[in-house]
Amino acid sequence: MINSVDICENKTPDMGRKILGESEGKRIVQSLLSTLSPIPSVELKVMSYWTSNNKWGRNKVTISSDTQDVIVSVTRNYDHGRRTQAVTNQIDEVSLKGVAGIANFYGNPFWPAREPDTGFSPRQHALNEGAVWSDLTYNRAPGENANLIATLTRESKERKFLSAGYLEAYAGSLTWYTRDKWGNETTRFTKLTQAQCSATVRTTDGTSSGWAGASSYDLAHIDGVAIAMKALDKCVAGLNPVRIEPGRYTTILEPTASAEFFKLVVNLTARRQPEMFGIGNGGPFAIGYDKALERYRTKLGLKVIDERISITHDPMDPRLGTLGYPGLDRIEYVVNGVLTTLTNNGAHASNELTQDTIYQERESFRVDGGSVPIEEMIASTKRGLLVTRLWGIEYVDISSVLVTGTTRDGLWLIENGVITKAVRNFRFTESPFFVLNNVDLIGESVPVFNPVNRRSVLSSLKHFNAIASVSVPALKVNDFSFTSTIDAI
Amino acid sequence: MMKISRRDVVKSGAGLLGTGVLGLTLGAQPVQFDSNSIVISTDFDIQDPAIREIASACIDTAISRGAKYCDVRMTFTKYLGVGAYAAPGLSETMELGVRALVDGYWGFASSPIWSREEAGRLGAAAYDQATANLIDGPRQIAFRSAAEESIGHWVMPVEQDPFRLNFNEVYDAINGIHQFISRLKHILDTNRKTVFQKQYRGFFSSDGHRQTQVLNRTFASLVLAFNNRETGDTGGFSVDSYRSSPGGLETLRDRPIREDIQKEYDEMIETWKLPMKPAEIGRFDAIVDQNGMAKLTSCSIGFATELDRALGFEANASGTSYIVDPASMLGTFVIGSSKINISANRSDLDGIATVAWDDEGVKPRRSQLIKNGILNEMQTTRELLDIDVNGDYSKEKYGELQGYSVSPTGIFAPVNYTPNLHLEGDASGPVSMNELRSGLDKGMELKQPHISLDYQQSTGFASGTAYEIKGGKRVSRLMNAGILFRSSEIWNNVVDLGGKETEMCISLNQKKGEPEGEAHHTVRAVPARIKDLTFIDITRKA
Repeated sequence: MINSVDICENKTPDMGRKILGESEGKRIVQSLLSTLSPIPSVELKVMSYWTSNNKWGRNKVTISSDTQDVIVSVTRNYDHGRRTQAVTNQIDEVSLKGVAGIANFYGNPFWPAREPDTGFSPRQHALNEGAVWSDLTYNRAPGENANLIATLTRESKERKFLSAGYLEAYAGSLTWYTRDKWGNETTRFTKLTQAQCSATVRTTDGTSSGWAGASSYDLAHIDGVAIAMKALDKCVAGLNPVRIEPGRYTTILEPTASAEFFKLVVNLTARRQPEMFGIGNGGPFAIGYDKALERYRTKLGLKVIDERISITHDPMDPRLGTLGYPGLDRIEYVVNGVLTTLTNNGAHASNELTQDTIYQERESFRVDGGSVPIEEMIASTKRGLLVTRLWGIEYVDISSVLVTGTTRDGLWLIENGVITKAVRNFRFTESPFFVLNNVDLIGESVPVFNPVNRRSVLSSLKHFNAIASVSVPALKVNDFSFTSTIDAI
Repeated sequence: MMKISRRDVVKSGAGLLGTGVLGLTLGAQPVQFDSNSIVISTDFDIQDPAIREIASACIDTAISRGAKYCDVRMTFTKYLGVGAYAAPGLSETMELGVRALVDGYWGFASSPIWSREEAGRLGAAAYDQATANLIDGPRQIAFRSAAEESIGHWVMPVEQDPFRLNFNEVYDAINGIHQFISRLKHILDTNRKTVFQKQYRGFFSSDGHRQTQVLNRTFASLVLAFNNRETGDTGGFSVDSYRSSPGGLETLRDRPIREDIQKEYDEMIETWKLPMKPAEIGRFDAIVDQNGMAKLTSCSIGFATELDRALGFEANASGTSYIVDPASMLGTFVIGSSKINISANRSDLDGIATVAWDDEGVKPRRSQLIKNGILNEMQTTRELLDIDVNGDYSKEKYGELQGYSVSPTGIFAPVNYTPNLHLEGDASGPVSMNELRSGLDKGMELKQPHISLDYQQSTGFASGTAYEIKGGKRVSRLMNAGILFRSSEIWNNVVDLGGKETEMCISLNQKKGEPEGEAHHTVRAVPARIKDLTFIDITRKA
């Protein structure tokens, strides 16, 4: 019987290192493999993360935190789509043997088939690494954050506004082992850092609000003072908003706002399997079932959005700052407005004999297509609106990809090329495809703030989402549909 | 390095090792296998003195360095996810979180390692995080003492513990429900979740708190997606009895789930028989069912009465509140008609947020958030109870402790999440939906609407299955109908509430904080008749 004290003395990682290194990750993988029964297809992930973060409200720091955690996930893939998963955050030998034992049991053929047998190895891809690491972020000390926050809140305090915000330094590592049904083995290791800072500045009576934020793999790329000043300036500029009629307006979407529409488009490139979901549920890029060809046809190769716009995913792009997971090659979703890639899961890729462009957790992307400054967009607008940010977006009609949501943290009326007044927020009802086919001007692609929840045990037993960084341009679009005014600032 | 593993705890506690058929262990739990079954024993002893020692090591380190107060949360959480057609998944995690108060500043540190050495490191790290913010000197902070009932142990009742039952029995019970669904025509798909949780929680503080509890909970939801391929009719209804609750498998096996599925199925078939009309735009009196009223209660009252939101501490995260000056609005601000009484609790045995103590060591009490339509109490925590509108210390500003502080696991610092809520019925109100509907001569009805509010919880949007009502009966279904509303108006326009007989529990989740955490609560709600609701065509653009 294993002595638990020995285990802890010898095998417990030094969490003072903040994240697990490559050798520790591989040791854990080997330990799991020694217990797993010889079912061919298996995926092991050893993930670790550290975060140091500070939260403030009403110009005062409310709490500063330092957190580390580990996630060990064993996923076994069987024929006919049987898949089992066992997860722990304990890396002593006893726990690792236990989690492997659970995964062994769950492979019992008693469980019914879930999807067609792929006969396809879905994840034999290189894991990119090294493009998203910053020592500055990793070595961030609590005192440095405190000094920065004091600077961020000083101006708001002196001018009697209320600032709330969040500053985070983050590091994560992943050791990823896969073995396909033919016995091909791959072990990969990667690590990344990420930093984010955002601030919301409000008036004390709650009648105006401004927001700004940025995220990057490197804290050096985040100008906290500029974020604080931008949020404050927006709050000041948003004072005394007037109510104007809802309607269709020429609208300038700042990058944080336009990103919401691009995210919808990218999410929709995940092709749902017709075998699982039936005809008519293949999403907006599906055309339907072609009886002659005996296959499902899509809009691949057709123009779907403005011909100046291209959307790509490149894990090696440091401006995105994304972890290499799922570690695929660069993907071009849309090139010059033409749909060029639909992402699949393994089963569909097998049936269609396409590249296995799996979609899971591919939340990062970059949009290119122009270089027009926002100032020029404003100057060229006779009457329109400038939108800082959108919120609460949800579908109202999935088949036409019609969504609704609200503007927030700054909305301004533009008249004859200049911003003339702050405006009460609107609810909008619009389709990303309408928006992206009615583009007048396109700005330069810039990284925007886009944090994602990294850990969600309950929802899916999947603990670790990829860091989602997006780089998008501001857009000037025609006839954007604002349907009603709202009370919120 | 000395570490307490779960197995050690079992050895010194219940001593159950060796009972397994095969003897593999997942941490402390003997996992018993035979060819086709699994039983995951869970006799983990959260009261073990070794666990207290770890907590003490955290506290001693922080206090010896100069912290005025320190508390520790230790969680060991097991999840067993059961898919309808896929194999199950098991997750188990351990967390240790330490919070220290130094000269008015909070520091927090957490990790997955339960050992004395790690406890010392976390105690020091929490202290260091707090002191790093001392650049402007010490400050006074509001932190109410929670002295009463500081030591105790509680186990949430469970009749059929899924972690003790043969797993095939668990699987059969869940799969049997889905087999029942698969025999119903026109159900294209189901969106379902069934995850069982067993969570051992320990809370320890430098004030002498030593509270341990075991939460046995089931997180479940079931939405039926209908598609009549012959007519093209579609729709979706949730089965509200298939919901998150305290307890184990009995919460799903002993409820009339199949009858409720059949009821929703029959209702959809009846709905399809009604003529389809375009959404009518304008103001109408309407019936909103329990599901809709529960969601409305949760977001427009529950979230809005969280004091941290109202004071702006969540302005950069989950949002703020239309209650902009809570101290002066208490007792005077009219939120709804005099019929509206909404209380909060964490003691309802049907409520998923129920606990014996919250994550600041407070025994939860019932609070009357809305009394006869007037704002009566805000939700607070020990941190926020004595705070003024400027965020400064102000003694006894918001009444008594409530126990609404939540840390989903020890990894997260605690914040105020909305507890279980109760929209109280009208003692003389209608005893059924039919009776409530029959009182409406001309109007609309919304069934199971999806509701979303802006980040200030002030302006809302809802859509769902909508009907036209004439002479107290559904006469047509409305295509793409939804409503727009203001929180301050919709509660004032409630003219009729269902009686106690119409109460139904709906479980909901809430995401909050930075970094974002998630917690759950249950709303016990009755249906309502609301006048002058603004109906729109949700697909109509400007």
